Amino acid sequence: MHTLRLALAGLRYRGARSVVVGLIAAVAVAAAVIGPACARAAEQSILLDQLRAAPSWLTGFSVESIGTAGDQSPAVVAGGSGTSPSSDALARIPVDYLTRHAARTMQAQHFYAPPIGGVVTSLALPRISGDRTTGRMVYRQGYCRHLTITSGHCPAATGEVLVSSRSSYRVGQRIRVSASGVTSADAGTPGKTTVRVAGRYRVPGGAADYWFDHGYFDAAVYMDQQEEVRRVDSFFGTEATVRSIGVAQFQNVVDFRLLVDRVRLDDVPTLKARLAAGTTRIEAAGLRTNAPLTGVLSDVEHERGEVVTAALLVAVQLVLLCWFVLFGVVRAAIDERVPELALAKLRGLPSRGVTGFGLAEVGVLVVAAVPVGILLGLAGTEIYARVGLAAGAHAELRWPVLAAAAGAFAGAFVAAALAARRTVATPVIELLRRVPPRSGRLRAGIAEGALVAIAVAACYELLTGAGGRLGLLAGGLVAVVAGILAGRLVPLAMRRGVARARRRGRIGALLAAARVARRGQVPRTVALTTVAVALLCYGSVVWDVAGRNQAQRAGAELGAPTVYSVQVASAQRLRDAVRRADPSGHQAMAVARGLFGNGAKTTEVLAVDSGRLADVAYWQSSFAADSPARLAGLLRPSAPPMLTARDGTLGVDVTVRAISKDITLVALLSDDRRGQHVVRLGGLHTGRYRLTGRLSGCGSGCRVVGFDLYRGPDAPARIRGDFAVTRLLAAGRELAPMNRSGSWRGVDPTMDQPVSTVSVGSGGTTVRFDTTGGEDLRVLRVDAPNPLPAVSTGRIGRHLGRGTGPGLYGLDQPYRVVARAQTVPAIRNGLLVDLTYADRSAPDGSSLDTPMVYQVWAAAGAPASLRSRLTAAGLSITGTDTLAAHQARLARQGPALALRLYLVAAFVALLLAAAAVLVTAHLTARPLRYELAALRVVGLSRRLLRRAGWREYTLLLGTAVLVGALAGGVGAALAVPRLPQVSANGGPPPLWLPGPWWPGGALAASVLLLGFAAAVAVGAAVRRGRPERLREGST
Amino acid sequence: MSTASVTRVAGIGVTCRGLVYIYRLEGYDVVALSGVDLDIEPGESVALLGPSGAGKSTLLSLLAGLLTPAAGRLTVGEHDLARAGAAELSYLRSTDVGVMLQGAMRNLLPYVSAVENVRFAQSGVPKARRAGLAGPRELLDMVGLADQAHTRPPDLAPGARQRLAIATALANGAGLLLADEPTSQLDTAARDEVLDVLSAVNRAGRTVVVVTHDPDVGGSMGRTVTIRDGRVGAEGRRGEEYSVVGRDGSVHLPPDVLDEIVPGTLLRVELIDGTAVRLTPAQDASREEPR
Repeated sequence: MHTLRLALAGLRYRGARSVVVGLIAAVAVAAAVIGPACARAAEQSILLDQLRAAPSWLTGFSVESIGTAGDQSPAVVAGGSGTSPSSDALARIPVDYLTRHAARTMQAQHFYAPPIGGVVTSLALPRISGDRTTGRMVYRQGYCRHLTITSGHCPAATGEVLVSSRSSYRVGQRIRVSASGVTSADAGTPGKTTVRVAGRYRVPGGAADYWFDHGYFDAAVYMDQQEEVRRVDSFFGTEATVRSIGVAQFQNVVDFRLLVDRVRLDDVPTLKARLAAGTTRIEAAGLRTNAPLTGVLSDVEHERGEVVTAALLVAVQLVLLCWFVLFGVVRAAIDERVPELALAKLRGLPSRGVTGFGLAEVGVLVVAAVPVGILLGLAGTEIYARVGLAAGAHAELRWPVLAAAAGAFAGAFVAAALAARRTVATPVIELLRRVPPRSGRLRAGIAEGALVAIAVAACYELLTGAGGRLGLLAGGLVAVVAGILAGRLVPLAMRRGVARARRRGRIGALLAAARVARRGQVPRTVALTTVAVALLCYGSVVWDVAGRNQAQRAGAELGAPTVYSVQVASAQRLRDAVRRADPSGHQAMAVARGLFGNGAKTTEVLAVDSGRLADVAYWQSSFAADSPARLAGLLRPSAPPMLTARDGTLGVDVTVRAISKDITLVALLSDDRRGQHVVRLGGLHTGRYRLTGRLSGCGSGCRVVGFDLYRGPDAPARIRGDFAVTRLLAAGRELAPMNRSGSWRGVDPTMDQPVSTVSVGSGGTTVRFDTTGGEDLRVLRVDAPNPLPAVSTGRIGRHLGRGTGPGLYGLDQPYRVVARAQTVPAIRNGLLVDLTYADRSAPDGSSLDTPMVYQVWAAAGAPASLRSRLTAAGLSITGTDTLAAHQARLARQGPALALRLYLVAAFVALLLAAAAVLVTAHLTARPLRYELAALRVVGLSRRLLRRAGWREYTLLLGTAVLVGALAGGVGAALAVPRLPQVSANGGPPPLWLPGPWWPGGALAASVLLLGFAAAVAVGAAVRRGRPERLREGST
Repeated sequence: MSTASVTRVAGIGVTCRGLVYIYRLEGYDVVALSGVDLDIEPGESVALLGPSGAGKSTLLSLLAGLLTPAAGRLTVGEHDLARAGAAELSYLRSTDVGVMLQGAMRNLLPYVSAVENVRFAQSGVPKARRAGLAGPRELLDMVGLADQAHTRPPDLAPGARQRLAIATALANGAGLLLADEPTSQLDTAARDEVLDVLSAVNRAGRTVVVVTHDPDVGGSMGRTVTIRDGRVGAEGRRGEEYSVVGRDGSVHLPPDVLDEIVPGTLLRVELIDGTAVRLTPAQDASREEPR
């Protein structure tokens, strides 16, 4: 009790020193705590970011029951004859029942939104324009609330449906639909029913969370076995309407959307376990689950691993540094009390008593610092989380945090105990005379040698890519080695400086050199400061380079400073709308993107309005050998103009030299929604005459795609023809000369398919064919270069020249690779093409897997009004992404978070070093003040003593700053090319060099902070080193 | 200032025989004491006098067990300090010897009161011996600080600080008080107060050994021992100064004699009538320069 009372009195007496030592201890504990706390927050951030970035269908799960409802009665089904009872039963499960059952079985109450159930069946629909037409009939709970009904009403009665406004169905129209996809003959005849259109809906642009990527709005035209097929957007009706079709395959589905913000890291195992257990039970009941969440969580795990590894390595370095600082401060604090300890020994206190007396003050401070440090660390982590992490990531008080605090506490106490032990073991007389302690040079040498060896091993691992984690410590270890060397060499150099200053009679230099050469704490201070400056310089260089790479990666992934996702009917409409919204051509660019194939064969097609590429797209000189302007020029060589025809008569003059019977010539046109229009011009027979047909639906103009030849029922198996089109007329006026070379061509053959031979002469465009079937005899207008020019990147089109790849809508077409680019914005493996040419040259129809994405890219200087102008131009903007937001997402990935943590740690290290300089100066001030007082008495001016003090600290800290900056630079040069800076591989060539601001800022911060510490130390020492101090009792 | 009556304590005697101490400084040795022979009886009060660097403080440190003699014998009470280990020396300081360092503040904790300082000084005393100790109040009363028991040392007058230092040195109930320059930097009044306290301490039975440069302080002690060149050069008893014959027969001449007979002078030594010694310089060598 008496010891504690004495300790508290001593702490009060040394109030300022106690506060500073306590603060350093608290900061050390906080620094130790920050590692695991920030790592945890970063993990949570990664989890939330990944879950939020993934669409709901990837983070949630679906339960499905798929089966074919046969035409037997339920009793027959139960009896087991006829169709498969299980399949039939699965098909007939009521949506409500399945929803409740699935929710209960999957234990989805807490983490998931209320499930949405539904039932779907595939339909065969009456032909449209002679094309086979398909669709789906869908019931989904709450569908009317999530659809915008443009006309009519939400279906209420059985047999009523909503149809897409993209279709040609009218409200009130009755449509005869039949079930398709019934594969079991036992099920009976596929059901049929008639539905009535109750209303029309607009295809939703958002609310993807509700629709769960079931592809209900996937109208397309595609080729299936040489037949053109139309697929219309789904019909929506009540469950009874869907089931009223009778014999059909039904897919009952219940979707569970994950409530991402409710998921904490601790919940992940529970989430996985429930999913696995639920899946097992669901599948045992004959149902199916689709849960891609496991894959998402695996990605999260991978990234979490990166950040945890790096964060722990940072934390270890920080904790070691804190221990080093604490050891120095605690030792200095105990050294300051040496006269008191000597007094205790003089009074005969046993060793235990002296130790207790010596440790009590520091012990009280360290004990008090632990909770304060934990709070500080958590507060710092919370700020870090709020500033740089995903919303919802917070500081958490968990056992690793407490363990780190306990470690720091133990380290501080061990440091104090070691310092006290040394003092207790020192003879009283030496303590009374303040004889400098003999340092354990051998032990220090062994420890330093070990550190150097570890540093060499880390550098070797880093340089050779040996794969261990020691390499990640290389930067810190290089700093430590530099600190050790500087700490050893500075006093040695200053010993020579003493002699030199003495010879030259320079008193200020002599005093400064002597103090640096002889003061015991100099090596420690120099080493600590060097390490701190090196860590900060290293951290800032790596951070800066990583930031530049993140910015570059963000630009390369996004494509432009701002990217609007838009809904538009076609690429042509998009291009026209953007040109209307931005007539200058410098602010916005229309972009259409397609992703085709899968796995290693995945090809991306990026079609841009190439004239605007150079002004709008994000571009770096490292992306390609050519400038974007030159690449754009290569993508858009001149071509014959597009021919446009409007409603009215369309005619051709033909000279037919030979033709098989019952062959009809048709004109092919397409509107600006890529809708096909076929004009039947008439049957061909020998002779010279004019054929005409009526064009409708092209009030605003349709592009003339070309001509085709239709076989009639009387056409022979082998057909031949030789005719020339001499004139093409629209509304009685010649549309284009037919005798211009290069303006028309036969379609490209695929798989040895027979095609027409097209030649152009003065007599017009001559078409010849001779085929026994399977032919594609179309004659196409060459209003785009063929093959389509493309710039390739990644695995695709490694060699310049002709090749084949997916067209804009996914069907293969010929390309001519005109240039290679290391990086093309927004795509990794694929082709950059001109949007207009790509749209014109793409084969008719579209691939089944074509999720065409339409975007508008905006330049950095685009005004805020662009968005409204785009809307006014008819574009529906469904999403916006910016370079800054994308970069912020990259900056929240594992490697970036680790680097940020490193930077924070390095700054904390510098603060600790500056504080340690101050505390050391304070704790060792007493003898220095007497020394200064004595020097004043013998006639040295205060100004000279101040200059000597500044010189001393300039030598001490200036050397540390220089060596630290150098070591930081070396560490960064070693580490930058090898440290991961963003999570995913690929992307543009990484940058290696930092800009001037971050490293310069780190150096300036070091100089300012340490300069401040030096100014305080020198000022206090000189101010208090008054001659009166030499008198006994002066305080 | 008046000092209260003091509890009687048995004094502790000191015996030095051929005491040698050598400082080893940066590669060379400095002989601080070169064969001190000194006996101090229990209850005596002794002032160690001598010029700076003569070895007074070194001798005091040896008596306090802070230094270990290089040669010779040193006994303090029952303790043979030449052979004692660290634990025994620590025990010695916690029980039998009270040490007062030069500079009062070096003996005190500046951040606690006078009474707490005394308590701290008693905290090293083995529990078995604490019962017989004078209480802090009694000790402060002894040194005239009863009314300043709760004053912290920096707030005390310089003389009072010295007296508090004496109280803390005696807090362990020591029979031998060793005080290094207890009156330095004090005015006459404060010095006299300190000397009164030392006198009272001695009268209570304790042996008091004081290192001082001040002849007046020496005069107030019962005996003065002058240390010159690491040896006992002279002793004074009751105002009379005597040279001391060393065990090797050497004699330090008094300073006034040395003014006449410079070092290196050849002397003829004669015993006269068995009661007096006559020193006669050789005529031809009386002014030789020392070699």
